[in-house]
Amino acid sequence: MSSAQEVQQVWEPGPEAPRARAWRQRLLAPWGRSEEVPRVWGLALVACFAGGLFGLAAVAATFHQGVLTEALARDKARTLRKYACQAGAWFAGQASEASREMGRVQGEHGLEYCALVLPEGTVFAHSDPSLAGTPAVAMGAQGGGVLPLAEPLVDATGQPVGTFQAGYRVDLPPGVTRRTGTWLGLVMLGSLGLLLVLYRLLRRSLRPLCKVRDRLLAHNEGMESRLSELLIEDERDAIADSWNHILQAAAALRSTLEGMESQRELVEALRNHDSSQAKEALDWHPDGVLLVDEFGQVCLMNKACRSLARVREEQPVGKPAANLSRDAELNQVVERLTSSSAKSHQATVYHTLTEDGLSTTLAITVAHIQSEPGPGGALLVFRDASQQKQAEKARDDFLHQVTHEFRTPLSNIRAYTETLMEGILEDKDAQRECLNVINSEAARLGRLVEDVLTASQLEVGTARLRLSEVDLERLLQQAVQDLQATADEMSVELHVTLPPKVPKIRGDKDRLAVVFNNLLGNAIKYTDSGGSVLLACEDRGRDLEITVTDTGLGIAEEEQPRVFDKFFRSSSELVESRPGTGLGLATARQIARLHGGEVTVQSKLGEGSRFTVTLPVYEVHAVSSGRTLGTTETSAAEKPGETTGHGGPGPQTREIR
Amino acid sequence: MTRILVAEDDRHLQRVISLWLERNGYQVHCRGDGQAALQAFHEVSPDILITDVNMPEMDGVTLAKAVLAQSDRPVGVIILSCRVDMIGIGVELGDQRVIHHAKPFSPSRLIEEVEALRKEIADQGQCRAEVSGQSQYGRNWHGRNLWGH
Repeated sequence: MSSAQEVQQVWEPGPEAPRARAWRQRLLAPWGRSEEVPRVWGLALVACFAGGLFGLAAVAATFHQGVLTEALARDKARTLRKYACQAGAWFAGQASEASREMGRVQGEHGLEYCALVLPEGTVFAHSDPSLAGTPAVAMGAQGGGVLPLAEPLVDATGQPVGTFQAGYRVDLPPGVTRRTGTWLGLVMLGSLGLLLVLYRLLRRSLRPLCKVRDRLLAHNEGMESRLSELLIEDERDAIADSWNHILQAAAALRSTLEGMESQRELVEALRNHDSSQAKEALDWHPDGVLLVDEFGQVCLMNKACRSLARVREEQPVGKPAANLSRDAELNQVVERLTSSSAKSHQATVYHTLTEDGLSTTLAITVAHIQSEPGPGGALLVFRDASQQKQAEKARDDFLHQVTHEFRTPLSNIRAYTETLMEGILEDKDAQRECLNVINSEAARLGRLVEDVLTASQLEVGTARLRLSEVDLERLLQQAVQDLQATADEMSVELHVTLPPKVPKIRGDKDRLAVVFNNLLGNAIKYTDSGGSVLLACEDRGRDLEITVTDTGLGIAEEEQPRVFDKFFRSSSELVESRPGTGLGLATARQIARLHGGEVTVQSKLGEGSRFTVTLPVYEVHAVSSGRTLGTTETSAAEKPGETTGHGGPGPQTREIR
Repeated sequence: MTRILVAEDDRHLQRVISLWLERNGYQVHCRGDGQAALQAFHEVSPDILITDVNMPEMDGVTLAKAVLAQSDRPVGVIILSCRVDMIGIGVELGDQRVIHHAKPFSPSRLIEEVEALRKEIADQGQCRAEVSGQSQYGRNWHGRNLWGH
């Protein structure tokens, strides 16, 4: 759900009283658009105020007229009061006489009329004699500009005898009449009421605006920065709602922006994190990585590079790459590889540097970075190729050795064949001797081929064991017999110590023979004249332990862990001068491991060596399938099976076929 | 008689080489390692040394160097080896009388080499021995039993 929708949902105007809403609509509807409302209200206010003011003026004028009239009446009343003492005489006389007197008083005082009215309301005498004897009511309605006055008359005993009434013509200032003033006053009151109503309405309309203004000021002056505090919550009004809506939208926007900002920071942090993680990962990489920019300056260098390239700078970044190493020749190589004139995009060179007597061969691979557009540069990867070089050297040495080993019997075969072919040996025994040499050398060649083939098969894991029950005692005796002649030739004594009964084991007879031939052959080969070799076998219950102990050259302690490596030959001159491929011990160990056994060595330089072959003796198992390794009589009747393996120790790595 | 010292650790090769040399009228002395051969060199003062490279005690190249350095007269050296790096051994040692002969070899070809070398030495008038009898390859040989049978 988007933030805008949330805002709309949150800030939907609340329920308003239907009556109030109707009134609002009634008030606002005639003027259409809301911006016209203040003008209309303003005109109405001015009209009301003007009406009220006019009404007030009218009331004031009416009041003023009343005051003037009262003062005049009081003054005239004093004048009339002197006629009251004569009134008795007039009532006592004739009406006509009294009417003449009234005419005289009217003329004397400039009255509009003048009359004597009996207590019963009948005009006794009047300045207009025609009106005598008429009811006195008509005199009150004489019209504007006449001030009616009345003075009661009493006799000597205090009894009322009538009233003296006169109408003074008054000359009042221009003004409104009482009725008009009253109307105007009502208009004023109505205007004031309307003003009050308008004030209340206006105040109600302006209140949200005032609140908006207050909040804007508070926000601008920094008194309140949180948008939630600027919401108008106590008003349900279109303006307040709109304000709240805008605020909420702003809050959502701000929230989005803050989110984007935090996301940007997060992305930045992640990028930095990634970058640092990548750098850290590169530091763990065994190969040296060096990134050089187009100007030949270091952009990135991992720990391995510092170590491999013998970098002397603590902070190599930004420094020229061609002057980093303590090895001047390496600097030249780096300069040549990173120079823009280098033609090939990718190349590998080998450089051997020697420091503190230790030489290390580095394989330096350069990849030129050519991004268009963008800066170029070069990425150099330093790899310690010492082991690779050693392996290559071992392989070369092996090839030399193998070819040498091959050529020696071949030389014999060729030389003796040619001797026979030339017929220079007429003696039958000599010819037979030649043939024997050819035969034995051919057999030696065959063994060599077999050795190399076996080593190759063991290496790639395709070697198979042809399992059958093996008479180990016979196998050992055969090995001794095969090598007895060599031992005799080398003047080495060969002793055999076997237990009364050597348990039969299940294995590959031919391959096991290779193991013992190799071990015995090595022992004889590396034992000087007069020395001795002892072949012993011990039944240890679950295992058979066959040891070949010699009093020969022995193996240096530092070379002992490597004697079972393929192609390894001791660097000792005494060893190098004796023929060998460096495969014998490796092959022996792998064959032993294929049988679930092991070959180990104990040796002391100059004193001799002791190689121990451990082969497991499998217990009798009543396995119905009959496909098991054991020494049972039933298993002896089995057809020889085959086992293949990859040289791993233990029977669990073997696969029985 | 031209004296030849053979240094070869393989007894079969040693025997067949000495057989062919003797049948060609050379006086042959055989040794099974470099050290013994160097000692024999001083004893028998051979004209030609035929040596293997890989031998116990002392290798053939070291032996050849020692012989060339210690001899007070020209000595021909034939190095029997399967190593390709031995092909230019004569140039390396600075002596054209040092010849590399590759294994496996033909005995008759070896005899040719020996004969050529002997002649070269003889032409220089420094060879104090003369070849007695025929030295033509393959002729006048008798089936003498070198193995004592």
